[in-house]
Amino acid sequence: MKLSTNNKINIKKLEHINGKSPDLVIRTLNKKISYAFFESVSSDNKISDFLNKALININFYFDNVYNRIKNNLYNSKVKEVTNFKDLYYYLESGFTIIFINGFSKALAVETRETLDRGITDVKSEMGIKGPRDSFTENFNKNLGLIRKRIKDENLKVCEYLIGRRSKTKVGLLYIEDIAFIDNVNKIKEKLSKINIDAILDTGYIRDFLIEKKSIFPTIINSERPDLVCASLLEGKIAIIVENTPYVLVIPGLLNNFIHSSEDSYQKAIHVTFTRFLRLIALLITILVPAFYVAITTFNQEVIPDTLLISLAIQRSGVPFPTSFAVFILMITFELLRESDIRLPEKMGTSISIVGALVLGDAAVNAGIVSPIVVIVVAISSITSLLFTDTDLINALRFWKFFVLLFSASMGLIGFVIASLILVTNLCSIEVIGVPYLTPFSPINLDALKDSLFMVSRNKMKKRADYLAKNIIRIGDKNEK
Amino acid sequence: MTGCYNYNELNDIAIISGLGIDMDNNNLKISALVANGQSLNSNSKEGNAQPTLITGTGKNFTEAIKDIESKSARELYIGHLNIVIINEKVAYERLFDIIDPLFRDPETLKKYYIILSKGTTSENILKTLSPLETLPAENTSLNIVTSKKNLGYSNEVFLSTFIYKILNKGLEPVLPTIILEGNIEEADNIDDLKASKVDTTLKMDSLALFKDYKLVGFATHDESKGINIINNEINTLTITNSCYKNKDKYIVTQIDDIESKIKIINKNKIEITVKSSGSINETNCNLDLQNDDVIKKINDTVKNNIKDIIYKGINKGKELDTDIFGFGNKIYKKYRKLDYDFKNLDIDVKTDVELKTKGSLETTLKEANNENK
Repeated sequence: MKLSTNNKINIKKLEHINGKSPDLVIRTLNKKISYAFFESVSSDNKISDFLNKALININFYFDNVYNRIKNNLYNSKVKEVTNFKDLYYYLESGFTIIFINGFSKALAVETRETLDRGITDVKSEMGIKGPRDSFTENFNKNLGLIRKRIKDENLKVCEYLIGRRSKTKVGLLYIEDIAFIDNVNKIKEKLSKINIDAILDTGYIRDFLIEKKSIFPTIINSERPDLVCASLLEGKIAIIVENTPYVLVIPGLLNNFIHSSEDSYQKAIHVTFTRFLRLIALLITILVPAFYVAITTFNQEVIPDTLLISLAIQRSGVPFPTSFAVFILMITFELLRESDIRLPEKMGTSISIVGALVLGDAAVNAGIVSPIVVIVVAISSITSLLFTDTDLINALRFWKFFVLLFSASMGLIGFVIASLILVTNLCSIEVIGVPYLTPFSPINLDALKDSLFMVSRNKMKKRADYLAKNIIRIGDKNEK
Repeated sequence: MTGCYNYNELNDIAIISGLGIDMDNNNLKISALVANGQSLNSNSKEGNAQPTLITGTGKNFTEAIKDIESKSARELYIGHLNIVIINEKVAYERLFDIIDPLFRDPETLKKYYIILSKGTTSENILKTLSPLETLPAENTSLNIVTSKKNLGYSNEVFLSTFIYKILNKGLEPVLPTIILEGNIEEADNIDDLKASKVDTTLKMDSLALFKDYKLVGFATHDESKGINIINNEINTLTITNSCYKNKDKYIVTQIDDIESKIKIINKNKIEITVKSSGSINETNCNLDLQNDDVIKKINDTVKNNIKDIIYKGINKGKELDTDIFGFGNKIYKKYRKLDYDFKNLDIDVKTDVELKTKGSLETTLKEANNENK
């Protein structure tokens, strides 16, 4: 719907579209100029400062008022609008629209109020050393945090406006001479095809980007700019979504979920030890409850004698079968974990005391479960919290129950079958053409230097070539 | 294959850790030591087991086990069997009837100890053993057998070793024996076992010799030591000698590293070479231990001691006509024929001792005392 040259008609049309919401402010300065803005998203200071200063000094009796105003405005960003759709978009974004009588174009000047919380500490992916600033809900600030770390002219940003009603800004970042252009084009195509009414968070986009769904997470969701920059330098693609402090990085391999960004800031040999611990924790989380159920109910030959007799003594007097008791306790721990996330701090202590007492002492003393089952389930749940990504923890939770189901029905053979299914599933996941278990299978020696072990940084001379095409990383000034 | 039908909770099974086999008027009487018996105290969350003994009789092994199963409240689980105690009467008459079902059972690992009970029934031995098993982590039943290997005249024999020796040509097995010392009150009620039984102790004794699935005789301590030396199954050997000048005083040596090699010269002559090294444990003689001649004299005496012990063992084997040393096996491996005359074999023994250390004292205390004066 095009603008007309008459201000009054434009203003009436605007009021009609908007429906008289109380935060729409329309001011007519004189016969020539009126402006409109939304009070809720615009900054009053900027308007009074910039606009009124600029507009009051304009001499309206000469020609070419439009261009004179346009060249005279103090704001940093000025755009021209010709139809109501764009006009409304800019109004909602916090711009002020200046209507000039006699011209069918209006000027939109930037007077945005910052409605976010400023750069704060990282809340969920804690670390000990290393930078602690996190992304915020503001698109430009997020982009700024990345730009100040990678000051390369090859860092390219493409912007999309996705969502019919939300018109959210979504930015795609990549480094042009490192990332594979095929992958970038694939993602661009997928983003441009999204047809949805609103994007409120990165989670909305995630399902559109990956065709083949799997239980393990394949996209990294991070709050830390240093992690995103490290991934960009490896050849990955980052997606920033307005109004959410999480940034997506594609592709996310199993490797990346086991690392933490801390690892780059400590000595390599200590990091190697920590990573082995995490691998052991991964195995413990999935396998220990099922293994316990399998060997105590089906294959008692595996247990050494003295331990077997102790377990048998503890088991007497318990009414439920072992697999059922393990299942119930696992569900209870998951309930505890869920409630912990939503707990307000003031109620924290009493509820955690109740939880510990109920699950620990009272259940054992009442004879509902035997003490060894509580230990087994507690070990498995606590080691799963070693990982920072909630998607990975939830994936592990699913596999815990899956392997338990097989063990409870078929013993050690069921345990082995379920583990084989797990490994096969892991090997079959692919993210934009890259297998999930790279660099372990297929083996990639350069990437192995930073996967399970970590060698010191001056020995990592090449980038892994499954994601990057420009593989000299350090040392050579003429990277080509 | 395991499957849904194999589902057994841990408190549904009776874990049997020891079996005792006796004779009862031509029938076999088997006693089973159940490790996780019904606990009498209500708080069963502690780690204390209440071992119970169940006995059953029958014409053969399977019937006796079925009798036990009929008396037990739970399903028997023999997978974790630790020891099997066989009475000497059974070993004299019906050993083969026992070995066959024990070896044939698919649920057990064939790696449990077999011992022979002498002078008392196996049931009594298990009765004495059972209160000691209340802390299952201490594994008393195993420790009794394994810790006695240091005595020199005892041995530990797995079922698999026993069968291996039986099935091989020219080789006969031996078994250690266990005896009960002290009073044993024949208690009818198992609960009375909780009363203190400090008077009765279990003791491992010397070896029992077998031939053709039959027990043929027992050896004395020295003879057992000799047999163990030749079979390379001895850990330490302690020898006490009296001093040269003063017959009231003594010197004790402990030989640790004993290695014997058997060499076959021809079908009638065998040469055994024994090399060993040891240390002097204690002495109250007035000897100058830093003098090389004195040490050489002690060496020679100990060498002859070892030779005597070995000859005693060989003579016992020849007397009972059972080749427990494996000479026949080695002759068969060399000449492909098993015709040899065991009783008239000419066996030549050479021993060599090296006394390496004297402990922490280089001389005797008396010598050191004399030097200071």
